[in-house]
Amino acid sequence: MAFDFGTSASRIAYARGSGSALVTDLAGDARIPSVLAVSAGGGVLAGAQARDRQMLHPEHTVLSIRSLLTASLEELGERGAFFPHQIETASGSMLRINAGGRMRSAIELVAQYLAFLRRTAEISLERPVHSAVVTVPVCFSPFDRQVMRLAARMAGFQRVRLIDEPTATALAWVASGGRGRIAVCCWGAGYLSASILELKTDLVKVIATAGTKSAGGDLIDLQIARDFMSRIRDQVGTLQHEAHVARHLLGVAESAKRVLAERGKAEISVQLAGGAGVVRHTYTAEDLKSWLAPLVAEAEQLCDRLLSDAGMLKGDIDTLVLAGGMTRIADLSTHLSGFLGRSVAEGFNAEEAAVLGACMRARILNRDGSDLLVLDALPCGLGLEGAGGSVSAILERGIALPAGKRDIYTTYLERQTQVAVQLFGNEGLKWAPLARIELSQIPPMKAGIPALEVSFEPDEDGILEISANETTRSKPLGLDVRPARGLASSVVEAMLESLPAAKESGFQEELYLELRQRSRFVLDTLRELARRSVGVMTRDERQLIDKKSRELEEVMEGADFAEMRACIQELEEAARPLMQRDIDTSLLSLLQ
Amino acid sequence: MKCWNCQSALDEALLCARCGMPQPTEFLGAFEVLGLAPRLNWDAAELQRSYEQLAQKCHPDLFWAHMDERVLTAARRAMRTLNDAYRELRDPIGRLRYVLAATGHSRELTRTVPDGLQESAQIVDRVLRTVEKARSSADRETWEAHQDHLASLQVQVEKAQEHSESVRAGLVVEWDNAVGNAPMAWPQVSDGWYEQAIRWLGEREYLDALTTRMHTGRDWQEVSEAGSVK
Repeated sequence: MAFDFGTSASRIAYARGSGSALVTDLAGDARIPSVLAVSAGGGVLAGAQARDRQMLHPEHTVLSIRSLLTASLEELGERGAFFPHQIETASGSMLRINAGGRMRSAIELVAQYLAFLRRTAEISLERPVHSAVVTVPVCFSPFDRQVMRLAARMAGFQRVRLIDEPTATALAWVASGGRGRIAVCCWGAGYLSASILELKTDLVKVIATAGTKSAGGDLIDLQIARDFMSRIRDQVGTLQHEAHVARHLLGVAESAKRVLAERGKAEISVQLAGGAGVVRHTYTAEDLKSWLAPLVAEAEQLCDRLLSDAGMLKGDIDTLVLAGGMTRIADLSTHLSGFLGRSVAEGFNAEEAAVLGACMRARILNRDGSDLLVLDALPCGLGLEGAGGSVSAILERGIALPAGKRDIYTTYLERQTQVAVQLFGNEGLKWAPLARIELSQIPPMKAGIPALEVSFEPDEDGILEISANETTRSKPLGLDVRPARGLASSVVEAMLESLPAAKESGFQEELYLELRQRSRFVLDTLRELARRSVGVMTRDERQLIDKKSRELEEVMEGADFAEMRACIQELEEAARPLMQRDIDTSLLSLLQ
Repeated sequence: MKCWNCQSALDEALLCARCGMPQPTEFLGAFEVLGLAPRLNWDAAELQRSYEQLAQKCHPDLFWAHMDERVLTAARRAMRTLNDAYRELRDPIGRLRYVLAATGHSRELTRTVPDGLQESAQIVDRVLRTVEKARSSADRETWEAHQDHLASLQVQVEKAQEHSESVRAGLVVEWDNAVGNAPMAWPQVSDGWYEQAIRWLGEREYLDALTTRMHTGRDWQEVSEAGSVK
């Protein structure tokens, strides 16, 4: 199965006949929002259902779940009310986010979302799904990729293969008959990824690749929402329920961005509750242009780097293929075609390309009617700090994967048993620290005598395998890798060990688990809602909700799938007026 | 050496001739890995073809469906070896560098000023330093004043480069003649050839570094765009 795990939405595809088919969620939609909501009692809600209920409990609902893997504490902190979760970094490198009343690590949330995607696939196909091809943005470091693969394993996939978004998109292009040298730009809500590839009948080769997280479309939504929030503040002074308002505005801003890009003008108008009046503002093409400017500059830099890495000039490319929501903004696709000197390929489904391409990769791996070989390239160059603090490259950006390099270190003190090595990465021109590697259990010898051989071996997923030996006595060394962002090697090992053994549970069981988690979520959150609305509930309402809750609690423990579904629905129906009132009082209602 | 999978004797190769399994070899030279004679003169397309044909046989993706971690690991290691070999041999200078390294001659490598530039080397360096300083302190006047001189020096460097290329051609012919009709064996060449090749590489590195400096020195825009000036 192929999973295009996007920043704002995900898609699932599987091989059917000689082509691919998309999996839809329970509502029949193939576009599955990358939204996860968790409640204190262990309830989980994801996808469209989580998105639809986010106004009720923004503090439980995490948007753009994937970007948690690369976001920094500062970046999220700056979002203020637009990211209404308490955050911290655990063990120095992995973010922890408060959702559902408890601090949870980013990998745990991502794993939960991926488990939801897996279940959605299983429920739709009525069979268990054990292996996955998962898309990743190019700027994911080797350690981000490691976290992603681990999250997928935690989500219940036994075998996981990652694929860079542009490579996946290129495969979809090949499937529609594309050949030659192409440039692919995938520009979505979180990341911009681009590659130059060579397409032959039996081979797809990545020649150069580059990515950034500073050009995502989410940034525009945030700009619009922030601007409008300050307009509301100007009118009403301090805001109560700020997180609710913020969440509401993010959704409005997202559609405003699209309208603005299509028609060059978008009016947002929000009626404040309690007769506080209407806040209205019309955004123009000029506004959009100024918000896009820094993103465009970032994209231009990226394209320049891509061409120079590939040793090409503008126009050496046969075709430019675009994918991702941002490339639907006409201005941006014009810019991209200007930077790369080619017009954009027509008639290509930019939204579904990545998942269809990932599905083709799955087909290739299963030797299922495709002999195509895909040669990927290392997205991020690796370097080590030498004497005097200068960094020298060990593996250059763009080399073919899997790759490997060894380096020899030694001690500088008598009987020294530990040595630390700094690993750097370069995505752009500058080196940034990637990880600190500590070698221990060095046999005590004279200074300078031990030969500490460290191997750096990125595999075909771009995940770095590191190993270390003392070669004069051929002894394996103790190794501790602490990435600047990601999980320490000891934590990864422990997590891998604690993974549940492969179980042959049927999809039926998964379905019950899914429903139970959903029931738990609905019960938990309704209880909270009831607590804050006790004064505005009628006696009948309270009794009905109480009755329906108890029914659901009883049914939950059983195994009747249809009954459980019906009970959830009845309970939600009973609580609907209450939920609507809660949104109205905490908020404002959208006029346009 | 035996194949890890079917135990049949291995010819020096990345793949077992009998069962087709990739071999996690680490002691094959780059030419042997690609199954090519150790010649210096290769058509880039021919090298690429050999690389791609082998990749089509040993990339780990081809063995994913085996569901066997041992096979995947072997394929991964074989593919690493193949990628390494191709990277080393794909360009002409890389091949020369590889031949020197594989015969134990790479340690002696040092940057050397080519004969044709011996006399002007110091002048070139002085002018470049002046220009570099002018660039970093945004002193456009001084920078401009030295551009003509820099341009004339560049002509000299380009001449030295042309000469360097002809020397390389001679080295390649001599080596490839020695490879001759024993296509898979390493050739016997004189010590003089190695000496000349080492010297040539040293000069080449010097020239490359100089060329980069000259290009930067003649480009004013880059600095002002990078924002390091007022």
